[in-house]
Amino acid sequence: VSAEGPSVEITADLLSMLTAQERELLVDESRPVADLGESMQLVTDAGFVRRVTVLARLAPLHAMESKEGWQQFTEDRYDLRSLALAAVDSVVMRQGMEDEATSEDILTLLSRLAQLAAPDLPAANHTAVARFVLRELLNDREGGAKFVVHYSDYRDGHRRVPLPFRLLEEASGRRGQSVLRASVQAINALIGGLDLEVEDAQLAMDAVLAAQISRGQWGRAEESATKSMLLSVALAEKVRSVLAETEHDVRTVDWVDAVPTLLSNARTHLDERLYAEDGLMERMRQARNQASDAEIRATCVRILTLLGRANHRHTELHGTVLRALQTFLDAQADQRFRPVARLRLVAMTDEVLHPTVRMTADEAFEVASVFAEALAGPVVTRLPRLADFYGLLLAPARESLGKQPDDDDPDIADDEDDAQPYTDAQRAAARVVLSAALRQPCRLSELLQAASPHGPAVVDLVALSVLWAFAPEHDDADEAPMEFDDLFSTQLVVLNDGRPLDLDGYSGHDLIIVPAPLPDHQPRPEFLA
Amino acid sequence: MNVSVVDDARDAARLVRYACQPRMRPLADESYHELLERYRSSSEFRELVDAIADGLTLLVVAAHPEEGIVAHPHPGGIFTYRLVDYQKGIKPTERMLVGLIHIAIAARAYPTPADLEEETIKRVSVAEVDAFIRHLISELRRGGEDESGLTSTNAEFDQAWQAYDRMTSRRIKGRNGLSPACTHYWIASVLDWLVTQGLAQRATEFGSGHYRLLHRFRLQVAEAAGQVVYDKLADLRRRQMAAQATGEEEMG
Repeated sequence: VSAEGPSVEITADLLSMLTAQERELLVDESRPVADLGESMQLVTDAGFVRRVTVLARLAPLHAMESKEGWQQFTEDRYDLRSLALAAVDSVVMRQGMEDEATSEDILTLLSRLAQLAAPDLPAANHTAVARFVLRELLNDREGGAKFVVHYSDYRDGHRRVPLPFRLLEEASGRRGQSVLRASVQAINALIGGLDLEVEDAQLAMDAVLAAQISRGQWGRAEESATKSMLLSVALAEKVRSVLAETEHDVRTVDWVDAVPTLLSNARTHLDERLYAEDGLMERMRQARNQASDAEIRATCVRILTLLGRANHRHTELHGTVLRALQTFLDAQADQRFRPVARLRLVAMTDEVLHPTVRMTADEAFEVASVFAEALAGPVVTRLPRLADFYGLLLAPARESLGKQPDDDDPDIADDEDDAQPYTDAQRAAARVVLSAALRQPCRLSELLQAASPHGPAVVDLVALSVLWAFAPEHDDADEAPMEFDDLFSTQLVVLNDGRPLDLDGYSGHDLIIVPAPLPDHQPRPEFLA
Repeated sequence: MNVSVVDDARDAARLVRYACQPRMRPLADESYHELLERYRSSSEFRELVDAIADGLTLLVVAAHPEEGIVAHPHPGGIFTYRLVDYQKGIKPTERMLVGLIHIAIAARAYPTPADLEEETIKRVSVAEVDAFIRHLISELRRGGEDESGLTSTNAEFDQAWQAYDRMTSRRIKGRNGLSPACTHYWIASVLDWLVTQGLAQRATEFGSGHYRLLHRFRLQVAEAAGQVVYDKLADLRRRQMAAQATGEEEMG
């Protein structure tokens, strides 16, 4: 039922009541819908297609709300599109300048905007919203891949055309810091929804700006200056990407016709731009000096700053364009002798990860170490820190009693089943000898002599125990060897007055062994009671 | 000897030194930047640098304008790193998982050959990498089940993924510290190691456990690690086939 009211059945009688002209006008449902020629012309127009693609580029901004993860912000207090556009604008304004926008900057901005929108919600919410928006703009959901939106092209029947594009991406800034950049498409879609050749659009912008300034339309002039600046960014991006592509692979760029034409156009254009912007700035300075209104003066200063930035960008780009030929020659020289092409690049998921996880642990380790080792790049053996040297300098020269521990097999020492090198009888004897030192201070030589009747193993054990008390291995201090646990190593303090030790088989200093002050709560060993 | 020859040799050696300091970036260091430009523009200087690197057991795999010189140490050379040296005193299973996590991070960021060629910076987080591996494991487990939904009994040996599967994702020890008995601990540990090697950066602005994989990481996978691991796998497969063939002969 139509909105106009009850439907009427069209009968022959009814028709006969109409004039011929009225019958002509009556829509006949059986006839194909009126000639589509005119409408078809509309949709086959190149301008239509261009506008459709512009709309398509905005799709990711609209799609955000329906994305998984957004539902957690149920309050419906934040406007995602404003946040997204603010992020892109803020990136574009600083793109290519010395201080390009970093992800921190953008997240700070977005959190602030989110906070203004919903001041009563906790700060964590704002941070989460900011991250959500930035990650959507970067298309993190698909690992930073390009957005792909499809549109219909009716110029030749119908064709469904995929439109791959990025909005923001991460790149390296001038000082090597990680920064955000907006793509040319994002800049163009943002500027005014017209996918114009950036060069021409900029010329037009100049004229607009000049007219606005002469007419005193300050507010709009400022807007135009902003657009002019954005176009400068787009132009810089265009040349930069061509040169980057050249450095990557010289064969993918047409250096016979296309690039020389682009560069020569860019050169001419830049010469004009630099000249024109000089003129504009001159006019703007005049306007600033003549203006009496403080607000207008402030606007002038802002526009001047903008123009100055754009001008700076052009000057830099000019340098890049002039160096471009050298870039090409360098790239060619660089890439000429490169091996024709790698045989192939590896599919990490299908060809490496999947087979590896199915292997036995041993095989997987073999494969994974090859990968991890090649991935690491050069590793320079760590130099000792100065702090380590102090310890080494202050520690007395250690005697090599018995074998030096081999640096290469610490794993064996970790083994819990480590064979005890001394028998219980020997340990008991050593305990008796060492207990003398708990009663009164004595020298190492006295202890060793007292131990000698029990055999060389006990002498060794006593010497080791004293040395352990003197200089425990701090590398793994938390696990002192079991063998010294019951040999009072923690209850003895060992001092060195430099007197040489004169005993067969041993050399070094005759250390002084003193009982350590016992903490109150610790019971005295029973043999002292 | 000609003075300029000596100067060139010194400059070339300085560039090789930068190659051994992967966290240095040419954009942040004027002299590195100049040397790198010279490497990229002068074939004589490049030959000199490559030769010095070769003598020091390094192979220059890329001269990236942002990452600088990316070098790959010859196996057995003085700059070679061994997975066996990754943290002293950890269990063999943990060491195997550490290696596996290296592969998983690369596969997560660059699943296909085309991804390895695209000049973009990828971001990963500890939780994502863990989820990625566990998703793969759940598929493997499904693949291993028979019609009745039970794990088939002819799975003849313990596979590497089962070791990963046995470990929980996240377990806290002490205050905010992760316990080595969870996979998040090991993923974070590997990512931190990549940071020390100049292959990644922390991206804490996206939350803790977020990291950025730099071009250097991609270049190392594409130019060095991917190829050697592929050769290694092919090698293992040949070995298995040979073992099978001889086994069948003996049977027959």
